[in-house]
Amino acid sequence: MKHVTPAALGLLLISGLVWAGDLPQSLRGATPVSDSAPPPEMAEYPDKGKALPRSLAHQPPLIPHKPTYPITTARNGCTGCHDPKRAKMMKATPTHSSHLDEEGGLKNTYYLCKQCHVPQQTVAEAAE
Amino acid sequence: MKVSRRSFLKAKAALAAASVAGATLPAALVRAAQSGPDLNWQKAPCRFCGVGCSVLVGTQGGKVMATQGDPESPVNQGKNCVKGYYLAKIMYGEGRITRPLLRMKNGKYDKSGELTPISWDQAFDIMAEKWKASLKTKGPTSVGMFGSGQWTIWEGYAAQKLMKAGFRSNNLEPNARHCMASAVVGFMRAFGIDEPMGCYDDFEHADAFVLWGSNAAEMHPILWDRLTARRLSHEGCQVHVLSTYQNRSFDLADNAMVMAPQSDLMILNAIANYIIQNDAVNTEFVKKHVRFAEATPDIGYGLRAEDPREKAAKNAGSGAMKGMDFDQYKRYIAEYTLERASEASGVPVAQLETLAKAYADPDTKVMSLWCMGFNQHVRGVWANNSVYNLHLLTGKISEPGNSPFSLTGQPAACGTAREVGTFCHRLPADMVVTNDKHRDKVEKRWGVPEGTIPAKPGFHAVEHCRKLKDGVMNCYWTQCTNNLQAGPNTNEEVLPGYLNPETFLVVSDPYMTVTATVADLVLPTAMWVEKEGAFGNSERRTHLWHQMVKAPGESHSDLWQLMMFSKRFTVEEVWPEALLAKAPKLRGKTLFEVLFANGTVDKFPRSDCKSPLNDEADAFGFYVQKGLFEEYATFGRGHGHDLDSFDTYHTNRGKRWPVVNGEETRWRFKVGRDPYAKGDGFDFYGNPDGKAVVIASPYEPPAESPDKEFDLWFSTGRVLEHWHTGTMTNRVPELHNAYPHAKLYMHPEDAEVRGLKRGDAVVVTSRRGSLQTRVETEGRNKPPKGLTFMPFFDASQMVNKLMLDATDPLSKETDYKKCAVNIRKA
Amino acid sequence: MASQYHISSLVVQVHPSGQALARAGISAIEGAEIHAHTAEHKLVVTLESADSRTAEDKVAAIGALDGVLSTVLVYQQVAHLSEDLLS
Repeated sequence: MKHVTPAALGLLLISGLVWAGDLPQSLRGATPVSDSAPPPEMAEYPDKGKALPRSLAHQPPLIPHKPTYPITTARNGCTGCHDPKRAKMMKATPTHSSHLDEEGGLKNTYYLCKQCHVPQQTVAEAAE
Repeated sequence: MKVSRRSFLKAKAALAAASVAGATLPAALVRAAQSGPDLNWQKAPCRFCGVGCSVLVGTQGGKVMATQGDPESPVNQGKNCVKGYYLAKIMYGEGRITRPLLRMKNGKYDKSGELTPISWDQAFDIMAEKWKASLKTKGPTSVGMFGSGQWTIWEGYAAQKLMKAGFRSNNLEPNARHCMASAVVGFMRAFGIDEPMGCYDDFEHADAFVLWGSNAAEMHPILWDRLTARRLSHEGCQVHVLSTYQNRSFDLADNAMVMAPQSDLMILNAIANYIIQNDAVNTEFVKKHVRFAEATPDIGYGLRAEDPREKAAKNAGSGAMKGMDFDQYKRYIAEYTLERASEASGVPVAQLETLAKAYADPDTKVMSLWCMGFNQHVRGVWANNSVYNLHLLTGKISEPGNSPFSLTGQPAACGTAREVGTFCHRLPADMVVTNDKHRDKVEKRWGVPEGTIPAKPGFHAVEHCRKLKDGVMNCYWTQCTNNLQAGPNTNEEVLPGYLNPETFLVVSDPYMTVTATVADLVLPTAMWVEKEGAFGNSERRTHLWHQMVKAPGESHSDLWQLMMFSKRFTVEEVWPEALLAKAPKLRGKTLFEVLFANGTVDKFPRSDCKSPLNDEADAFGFYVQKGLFEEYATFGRGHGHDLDSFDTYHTNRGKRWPVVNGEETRWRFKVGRDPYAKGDGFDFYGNPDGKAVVIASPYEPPAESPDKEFDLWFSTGRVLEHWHTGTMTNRVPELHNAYPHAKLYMHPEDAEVRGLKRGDAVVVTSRRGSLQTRVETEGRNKPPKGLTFMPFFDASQMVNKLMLDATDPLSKETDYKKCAVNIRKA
Repeated sequence: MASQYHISSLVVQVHPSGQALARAGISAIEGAEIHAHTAEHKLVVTLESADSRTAEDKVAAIGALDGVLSTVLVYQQVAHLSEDLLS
């Protein structure tokens, strides 16, 4: 992932100390520690999207859309589409069978989907 | 037996399912699963928070290829949170440091030079030169070390020996000071012994959960899942959540309360008062097991002595207590009514009463949970003690489901920082440097002469930076911590301390952290399963792992670095003649020989280690980790801190101490459940009289509150996706893209009156500095009007420059949750 | 793209009286193998498949068998198909 543009590398000035460009970089970029740079644009998440590729075994699927569906004791906003009974119709990834109880409902320990499933910003600057 | 890869994979899969089903597999299949040529799965605790989940780590070709939740772990029962699922990537981000780097100009060390690759020999040469010069001219208090609750147990223990006995400096601190110190002091004052009496099993037994300043939904996800399961399956289970802003934990709350900052002190006293006024005191329990005391008021804010707030405090820093009886306590807190607490906190009386009833009802088992909201608090110790008061008044303690439970931040905040005692005033097993008997015991065990360990506590974490800035402390070594991003008041205290021309700053880290970018010497460091390790989690569980892969380039573990550095000093170079005269046998020896090749630490051969990889054992020629662990464990055995034998921990998923005759202890202080508890019902044996202490303390205001010029509260914290300063997690693409940058959560109306809308760039300014970020008025955190929140993981938006370095004066822990800022459009 | 080898394992809870039926059904599914059973009528089953879609279909097929009460997927791994996998 690139947090620093190559052009900025040569000019890296950290608190007045000169930094060699070919060494490992911090995630801060070129701004001196005591200063503050203009912030990057707000992360945006797509309204809809296709299932994202997974890069690891045992990796929980990423959320290819906005994570704005509420999960409260009254309602789990994710199961509306991801319940295996509805997933095909909703064109959504069905909930993994390991998460389901004997009646096919979501197990209580898996109730909070966002503990493991996270969205990805639209401009996936770091996905390489 | 040669197994084809396919049958090996199949056997592995079958074994996983069989372990879940509790089925016995044919022996041939088990053998196939264990001896296959594919991914080699071994257990390790997760690298991140204090929950202490166990993961299975799959390695192949010298690299970690995958991790999965460990089905055999009683903590996480096969699950992980999102960070845990990406553990396989944390070691392979860009920016790993692979060679020692020294700031040089014209081929020599120069503070204004560039970081330049050098050899380990050169690195230790310059370090030893600086340390020796400093020790000679200014003495032991001029050197210091800052570590972490992310050190393994033996790394913390080795640092403890090298600093306190080797260099004779108590200036050793963990960054756990910023995280857990208030909890420790709270435990010591009430119970005379550190760490929770209960354990995670309480989640499956409680009827009510109360979150006091903890957003466990994000910060302790696996425990929150266990709490959720209990809430959804146990009839009548209630979740009460108190915080200064609405967060994800509120999604599950039956009683959701947003309170004004600092008003928790008022609410806690009001509930205690409610319990007494409604005859809900468990009088039998109180009579037998509790005594009462009053805290000294007006204790200041742990700021520099010249600060007007310190000068104004009558009893700055005083932790003195005086005894009182129940009736005096009753009168003391009578002024704290629910109405008054409601007025101060903004929480409706009815909701406070619902909460009070949960504690007062003898048939409701209550688990209280708290974390940084309580600990990072200028009255954090009082807050900790006040919640114990509720459990002690009602006798709801040390039994399944009745549990005041202090959650921990770091993976070994308990195991290393607290139990090993890597604080400026502590020694292993709750001992302290100020106690003659404790020092004597430690010195004897370590084989160093009487008087080696200084009796005066060293500088605490926040003071480290002040003393570096003032030129009092000059040689400073940090390991596995990133204090320039995580420390408070970075622009006025931390950075000037590090950049002081008199300072020689050494930073050991796997990655180029912000702190490393200003270091004079950077040491490339092995992390997690690149070394053998041990952590201790929030529920007193000690768990171990083996080294599974090699660290990149010339990286070495913190342990290797500490021990190699100790070889650079002879006792004559660091100890005065008077001390040496007491131990003539040690003359001419190096600190390595005195502290590590001492007949105890080097007792176990390399062959005792079952792992083919153990770089430290290979380097030093003995099983370093086992030797250090076993020497360290002798301090706690027989004193209520008993650890099991080293080898056992490699075969299980950890045990909760005290471990006596191989049996762990789930509920301490309860007769019949804790082998140390004697007598009738309960035995708070940490205190000589066997009683726990209810400590009365008043409400006192924060160090800084919003005013005309700085009109908003500002609070910081973490997010689920990132660990602390983001050094590891922000280098994992999936985690970065889930939550790429910090942002400022604020109330939409607060934004509107400032002409701001969601996404606008703003400048946030406190009395200590300013930074630029963007406004967020939606999403997971919804602050009330008048309060803002911003996470600290983002190296490009260093929020701690805004923070005041005010601490709890007793615990010396910084209040990261309250300061005053103003906000304008950028 | 190289061919893949998916291996998964599951615990299948069967009805006490439907065990024979369930066993027959599982054995008929390609790539499925029963390794063990418990006193609580749980079967330990592994599934070999060429891709994740097929694997999921097979899990669903097992779940739909007569005599099967529930299935719990425990383990999944993907490997690239190479010669030693075919042995």
